[in-house]
Amino acid sequence: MRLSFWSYENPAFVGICGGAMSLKGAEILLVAPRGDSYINVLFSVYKRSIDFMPVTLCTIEKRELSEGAEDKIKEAIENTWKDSPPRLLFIVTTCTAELLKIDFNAIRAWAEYILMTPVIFIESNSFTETESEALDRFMAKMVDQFTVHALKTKVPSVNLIGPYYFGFHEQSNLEEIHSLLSSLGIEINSIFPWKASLDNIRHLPAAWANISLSPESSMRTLELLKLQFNQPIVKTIPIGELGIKRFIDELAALGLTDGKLKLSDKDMLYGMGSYIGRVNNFAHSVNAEQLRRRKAFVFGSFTQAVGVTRFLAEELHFPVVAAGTYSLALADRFREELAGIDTEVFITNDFKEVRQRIMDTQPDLILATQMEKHIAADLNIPSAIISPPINNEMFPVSFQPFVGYRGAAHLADLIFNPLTVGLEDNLKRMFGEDEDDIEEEVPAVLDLKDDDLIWTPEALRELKKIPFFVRPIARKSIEEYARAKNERTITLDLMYEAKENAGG
Amino acid sequence: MRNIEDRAGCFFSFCPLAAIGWLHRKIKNSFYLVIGSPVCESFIQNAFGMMLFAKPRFATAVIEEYDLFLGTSPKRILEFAKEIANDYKIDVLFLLETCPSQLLKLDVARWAEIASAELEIPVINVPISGLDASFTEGEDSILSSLVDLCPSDVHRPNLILVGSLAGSVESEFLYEFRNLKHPVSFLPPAAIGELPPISEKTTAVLLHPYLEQTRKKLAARGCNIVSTVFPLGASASRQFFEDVFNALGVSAKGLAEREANIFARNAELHGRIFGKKFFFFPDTQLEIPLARFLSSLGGEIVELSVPKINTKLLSKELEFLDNGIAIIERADFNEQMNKILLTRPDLIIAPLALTTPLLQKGYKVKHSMDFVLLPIQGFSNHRSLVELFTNAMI
Repeated sequence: MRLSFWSYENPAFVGICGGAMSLKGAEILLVAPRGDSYINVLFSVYKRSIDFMPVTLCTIEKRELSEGAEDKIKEAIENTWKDSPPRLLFIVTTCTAELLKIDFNAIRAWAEYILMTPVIFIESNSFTETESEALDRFMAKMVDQFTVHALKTKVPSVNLIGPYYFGFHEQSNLEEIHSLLSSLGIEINSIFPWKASLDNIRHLPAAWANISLSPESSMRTLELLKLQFNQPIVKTIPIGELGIKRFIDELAALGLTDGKLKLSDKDMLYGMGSYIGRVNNFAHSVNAEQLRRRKAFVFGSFTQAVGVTRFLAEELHFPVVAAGTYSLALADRFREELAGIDTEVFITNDFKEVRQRIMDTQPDLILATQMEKHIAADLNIPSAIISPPINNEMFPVSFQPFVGYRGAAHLADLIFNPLTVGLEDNLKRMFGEDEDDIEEEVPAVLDLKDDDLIWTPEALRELKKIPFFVRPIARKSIEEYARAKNERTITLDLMYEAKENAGG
Repeated sequence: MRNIEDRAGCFFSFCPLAAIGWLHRKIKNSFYLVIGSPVCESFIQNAFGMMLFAKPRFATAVIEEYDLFLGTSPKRILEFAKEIANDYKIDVLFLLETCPSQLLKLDVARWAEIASAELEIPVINVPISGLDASFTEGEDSILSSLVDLCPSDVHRPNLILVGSLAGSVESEFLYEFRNLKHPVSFLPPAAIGELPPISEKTTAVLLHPYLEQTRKKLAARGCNIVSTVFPLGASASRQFFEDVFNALGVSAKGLAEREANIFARNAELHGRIFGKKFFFFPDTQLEIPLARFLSSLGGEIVELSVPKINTKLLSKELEFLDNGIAIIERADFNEQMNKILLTRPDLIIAPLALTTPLLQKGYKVKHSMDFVLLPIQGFSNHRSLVELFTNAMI
């Protein structure tokens, strides 16, 4: 056993379900205790989709422990899909079903025979595997099972490997990478597994190369495609303008493009083209100049932490005091990528260690996961989220890419906005905080100058129990009630009486 | 006889571990160590967000592969308990069993004994498992474990209110009982040192319909358990306080006037419930008292489904529930969706997993968790309770 206070990575079945439900027309049978259907909560809360998640739950209850679960699983499959088989059915388990000795391979074969549709059992290991490792294994299995050799496309093309339902700013990143690739004359052959059909998977080998914006969850699949179909892996991730430049150079070296962006006048006026060079302009402004006397702290997934650290150090010249990742499997590559940067590199998935490093380095800005955002709030340090794990900010309503030119622009804003700079900052440094800015514990809620009401200490104590955001309204209505009754003193009795008689 | 049907279907609800999300706020300096898998850990994280973890009150003793083959030494758990006690101020440590820990037959009860002796604070084993418990029953497991720790040596009459309540509701209930001679206390208490004494002279009243194990434990300790309704809405609150006062041999004054007064003031608001059709998905076990409440205001209950029903605990509730309303246990999700198409309800009370897609499909939906985590009990919350429904129908 190990003691864990917080995990930066979700368990295996989140990766498998996330991958499977990304596929077009796929459905999932989840064999698990009822509570594990929280995967549906993740799906519906973050994706805000009109569809229910395509997951049917086969609940493991006490009875199944003694009587076995096979019959119940078969019954669930028959009842749900006999009349309308899905295009693809996945059987997924969590820890509980893994511990029971259920012959899923036999059930899989039976289901395929009954439904006449491909049924795939993805074995998961909840005790050892993480979400990203499981997603990678899921994709590799799909490639292994469904791809066949295909002729390369006539025009240069790439596959995007790894975008999926729970990906980081996935929708925005896809749009931006698509714009960037088209302007380089490169087509997208298949996106996998995001909204991919079986045909899209079969067609993967036709691309000239493979791109992944999340190597932590796709290295295995990329290596498999390289081995089987001789498809090179594009290693650079186009985060930041220099990152984009290296990305284009790598594509050019692979012979996919001449490296020249072909942009229309419209693109240059108000499209992607109008964002080119903005970060460079920003980096040479009076505001950015002030960043140089500060220090940033970066922590996140491999891709995000590398991209953001290099962007800060190489493009904004914003010193990075420490850069870390929780992607343990990519530790060596992480060190390699940041070898040229003057920063302290660290690898850990223990949030207490991250917290300690923040305390030790005393950064002016924290760019990390949602966990560090809360630590930052505790320590009163500005922060922004630049990495998974899954949280609401990963699924913005608006267009907020991290890659490409508009991604670089977004990143610059994300870094700059939490900071206080300019004259305001100088004044604070010169003269300290303005006393009036320091918030009182009990906010003054009313204009008290001709207020003759007295609150008894008991009533006042009770008032403080009301959440602060509704406290002013509650106080106002209680005081109005007291005035209406011609009471001068607000006692506990009067307070409850007022509360009970509110409204109407 | 009321029509109760068990469909043994698949429905979407939470894992009972969720209860620690609100109990850690109730019991000061309590810490929760989940003995489970990474699946359990990620559930708690995703259910309650990270704010809780920046100042941890929970941790997971993550079962690893070798535990499956070699078993786990109590020494490991003791090390973890010591680490937690060193790093955080804790007065009580709960060791929570889970589906995998129960499947692996880990002897968590013994670990708790060993750790308790070593650390000199209560270390309590809580057998929570999603294999047989529903979402809110996590609170039941924890409270029933606490009953074992309540002192029994004080043999004078007292009143215990059982079930976690918002701070403002607790104050209000204490206020209602201010003239009693009996000492009044809460389970869970605000601090572990304040566990109420339990004896044959104790009167206990349960505040939530999902506290069946706790009810059994209290009954076994000889408590007098007041049979009443759950204080949701002014009428039920009146009934609730009347029943408690009667059980204590005290006469209640002015309750009916207060009820009438609240009804008179809120007539317009009640009109927005009248004639509307309500559909309950199974989730929190609060479905029956809430349906009773809506039905008493003239709402039509087109579906009343619950994860499970504790008929003993709910006997008085069921008396007040319109006999024509059928109750469905463990409803089947697909069947319920068909029923929604047929009945076109005005408001659906749904678990978190279904709320967004139902809203997207154009239904009016109230997320059921709000009834667990908002102050809705007692006279003064009557209006807020009605508004939870009416606001969702706008």
